[in-house]
Amino acid sequence: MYRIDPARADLAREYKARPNGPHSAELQKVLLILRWGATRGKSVILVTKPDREWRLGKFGPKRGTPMTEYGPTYSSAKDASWACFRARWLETTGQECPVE
Amino acid sequence: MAERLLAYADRISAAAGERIEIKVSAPEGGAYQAKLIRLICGDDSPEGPGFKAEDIPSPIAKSYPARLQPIHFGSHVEFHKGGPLLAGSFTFFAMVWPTLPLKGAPQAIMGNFDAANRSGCSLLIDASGRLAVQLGDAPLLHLDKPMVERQWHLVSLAFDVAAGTVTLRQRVLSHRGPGDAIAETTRRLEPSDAATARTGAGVGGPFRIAAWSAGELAAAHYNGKIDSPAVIGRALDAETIETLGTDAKAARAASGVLAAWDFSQGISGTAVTDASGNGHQGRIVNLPARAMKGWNWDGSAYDWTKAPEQYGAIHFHDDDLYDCEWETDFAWDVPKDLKSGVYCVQLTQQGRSEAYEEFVPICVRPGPGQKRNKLALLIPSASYWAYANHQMPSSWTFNETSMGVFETMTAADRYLEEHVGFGLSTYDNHSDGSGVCYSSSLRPVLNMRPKSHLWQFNADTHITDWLEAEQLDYDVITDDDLEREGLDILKDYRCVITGTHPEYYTLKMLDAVQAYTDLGGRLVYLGANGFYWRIAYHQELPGVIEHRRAEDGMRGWISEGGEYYMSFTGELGGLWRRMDRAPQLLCGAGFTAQGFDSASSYKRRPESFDPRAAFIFEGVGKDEVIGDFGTIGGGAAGWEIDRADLALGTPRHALIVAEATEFSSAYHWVKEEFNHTHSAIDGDTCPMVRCDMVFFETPKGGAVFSTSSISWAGALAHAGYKNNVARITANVVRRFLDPKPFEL
Repeated sequence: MYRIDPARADLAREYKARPNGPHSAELQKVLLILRWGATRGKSVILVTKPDREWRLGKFGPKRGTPMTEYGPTYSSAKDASWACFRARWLETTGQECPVE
Repeated sequence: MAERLLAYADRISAAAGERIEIKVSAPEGGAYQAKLIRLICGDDSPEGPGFKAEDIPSPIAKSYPARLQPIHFGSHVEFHKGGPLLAGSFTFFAMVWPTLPLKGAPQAIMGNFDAANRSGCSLLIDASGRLAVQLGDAPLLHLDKPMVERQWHLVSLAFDVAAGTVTLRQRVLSHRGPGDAIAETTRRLEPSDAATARTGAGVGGPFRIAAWSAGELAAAHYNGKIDSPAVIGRALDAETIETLGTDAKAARAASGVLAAWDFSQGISGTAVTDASGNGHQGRIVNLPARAMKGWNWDGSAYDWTKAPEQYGAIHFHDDDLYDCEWETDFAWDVPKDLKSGVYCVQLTQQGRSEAYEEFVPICVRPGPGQKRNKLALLIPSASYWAYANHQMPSSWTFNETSMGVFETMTAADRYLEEHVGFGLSTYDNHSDGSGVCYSSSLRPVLNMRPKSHLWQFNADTHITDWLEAEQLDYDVITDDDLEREGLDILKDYRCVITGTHPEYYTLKMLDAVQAYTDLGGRLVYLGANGFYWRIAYHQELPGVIEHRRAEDGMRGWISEGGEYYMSFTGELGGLWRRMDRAPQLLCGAGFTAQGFDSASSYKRRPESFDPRAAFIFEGVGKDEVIGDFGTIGGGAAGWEIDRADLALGTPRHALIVAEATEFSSAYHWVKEEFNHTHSAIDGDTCPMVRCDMVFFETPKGGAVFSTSSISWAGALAHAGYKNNVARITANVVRRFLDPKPFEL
């Protein structure tokens, strides 16, 4: 099985430049792994002001419990996607994404 | 539970001259304001045409007192006359298949315990997942052994007055693991507890199955199946319980029987039959799933209508909801001369910390005798119900890999996640993980609103927006009308336009649209993944559909084998293409792929230069790229896309006039079309990932035009409606409105 190499800054930079793709074959693998499985417990994107403001957040332990917001606000969906990518990188590999 | 302003109507469609009732919950109190608007466009995104609506003077436009209206969700069985009376010795037994034994809260199987005054007696699964009895205010008695998730158990509770004992027992029918299949315990009751139970009449609340009472309300809802529950008016020993518990006929005739319910009777309805002859008829509340395999299902029959005795189970869920049953706040008498269109009751309230805005869409169709336009927009309301209040982000473990994006929660998504009780969609899983097969309109539907996600209802307002910009007169009719009236509601229209995603169709609806095209009607299919799933409306209850995700297809969940036939009608659920009615038969194209990262554009094919198709491309250059713009993914071909296929019924004379073939790897070929798994299924590698624009003539001067893309309508408004997507759409609609017959 493909394993994400947490030092692969080139793949992170590729996503940052074009979060909506198209993506290289290797970045596609990375994204599938970052996105695999249930989102409960992982960072997701919250629309805090429609079309204007986004934050990262997490689901509560089950339906009917509050979601939590964390981190800064973002003024574009692209920036929020990049933040989510970095959060998932850490959650999946255990290491910080090498690209700020 | 519901702290914001929310509302719904008693139905989505009303004819001019009819009355429609609006039900509102506004928990912050004070007052809220209502007004009526005619909706033109609900897309308020920066990239879209903007929110557009006309204020319509109406007597309903005023201030109303605000009040909270609660939602009582969770399914169970209740009894008109309170159910069997528990006096003296008695025994409960039933077959149960628990699906969430470790919920962490009591789940009542049957009995009359009332949590409001802590009296009565119920058999339950306790918070630790063990069979238990709640007897008045006495400490809970439970078995040591936990129940096994998704395994059938014969469970019983015997109360023996003479001995002053209560006996709990369970047997796992298909026990495989270590230890004994049977667990049993008998306790002598403290005198005070025994006296409580012995008191009988007047103690406890009304008898319920799959819940207990909390005063007037039901509580402690159970998750899982129950089959053949019975109450016998004496204390039975284990041998007798085994005999009666595995032989429903014997149970019904047993000495001292008080009630023996047969859930296999009346599966399509809401009544619950007491087969003992003692008249303890009940009714289901909040539509638990019926036509469910019972404990005795042996695989010999897959159709419950052929062997109902094997479908004696009802699957109850603590999050089932059919009808909020809110009281009506006000009614709108649709003026007889009001023109057909998409209207909304717009509600606003300044809350303590935020301003609330709520919309209740109402499609006004022409009234009897009212002049009709020649053009109709067929609003795919059945598909709105299928998606109503969907919670895919929490239901699906594959949502992100399917969508190709990180989960992005809108305010409505988040509200539904944080507030249980608004009911689920046919895309979701219940709290116990089982699929949701019923979806109702009798509740606030947060994703059927203007200013919401551009999917279904709000995406379809791109079409109304364009119709207004194009100054075309049109009527609005809905799937709900089509299901009620069939071909009659279509036949007088010269041209019918679909919504962007008319995915869910009943047999009656599909027959009507097919007959319309066969009789010379002109159909403009402005969407994709249409006419895909077979569903049913309930034959008695208003506002609710059923869907079984049988066999194959792009499924949010998968029906259990043996549960493919719909309870409402006995029809097989699943894909129309598996029933010889592939969408290609009707509109020349059918679902072939989906992806949600970006959309593509079309190129003309040689067939577009056929004189038969000349009208479509009038004003469009021969090498012109079509639809490399739009608010849905940046292109006109995308999200979900359809393909022509002669083998699936695309007419031989159909012209594939344009195609889009360049899709990203986030697009995937539909799974019902490949028999072995392999990797060549995405937009990079699979030639089946394409979008075919199709035109063909039909008998009696009719014609069909299919854009085969959900994204198409999102491109109509580009550059002030002066673009080739709008041009092609206008060319087609205007020609289709021309009475001159098409020649076949």
